Amino acid sequence: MMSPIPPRLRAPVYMLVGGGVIDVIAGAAWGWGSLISLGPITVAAAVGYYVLAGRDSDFSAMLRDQADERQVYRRLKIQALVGRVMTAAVAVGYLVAALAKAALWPFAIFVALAGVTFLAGWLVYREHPGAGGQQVGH
Amino acid sequence: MRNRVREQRIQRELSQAELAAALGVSRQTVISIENGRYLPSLPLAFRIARFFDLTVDKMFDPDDEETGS
Repeated sequence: MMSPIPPRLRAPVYMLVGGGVIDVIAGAAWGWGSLISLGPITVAAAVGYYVLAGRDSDFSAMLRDQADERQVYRRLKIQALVGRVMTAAVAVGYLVAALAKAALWPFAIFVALAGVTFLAGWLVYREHPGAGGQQVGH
Repeated sequence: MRNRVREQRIQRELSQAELAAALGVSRQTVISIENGRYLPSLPLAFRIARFFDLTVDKMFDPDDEETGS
């Protein structure tokens, strides 16, 4: 089903709605005075996102969810890099925590999560015989 | 891999934005393909070739390994 919201407006609208809900919860919890500081941040973030998404660039196309195959491929490479760096950071954190005799379980969870995610990806993205479909990349 | 996208586009007096709109990709992607920085997928390569009424092997020269994605 097509969304009635134009692509460029989608994320800012979600940000306004989500941010508004968070602002109201924060207002109820810490007093309505917090809305004075949180409200403008929410609006500024949504407006900033909208302005950035309107530019003629790869980044803007990704922001408004209208990326073509090269931009999708580029985003995938960026996400892969982020995944590798985060996994390496967790592994280093685990070693440092082990050497410092600190609590290991938070790092152990993320190391295990990286392994489980790799296996899940291996299964989910395997090639199915006879299944048609678009793949990004070369 | 060398391609004839720029040559064909200029021959038909099209801007990069017009070609991008016709192919359903961004202007940046047309620029990347023209400069040989991005090798299009097979479906896009066919779209480009069909748009210029050429075959894929006439549009993209696999013998020239000068550039890649």
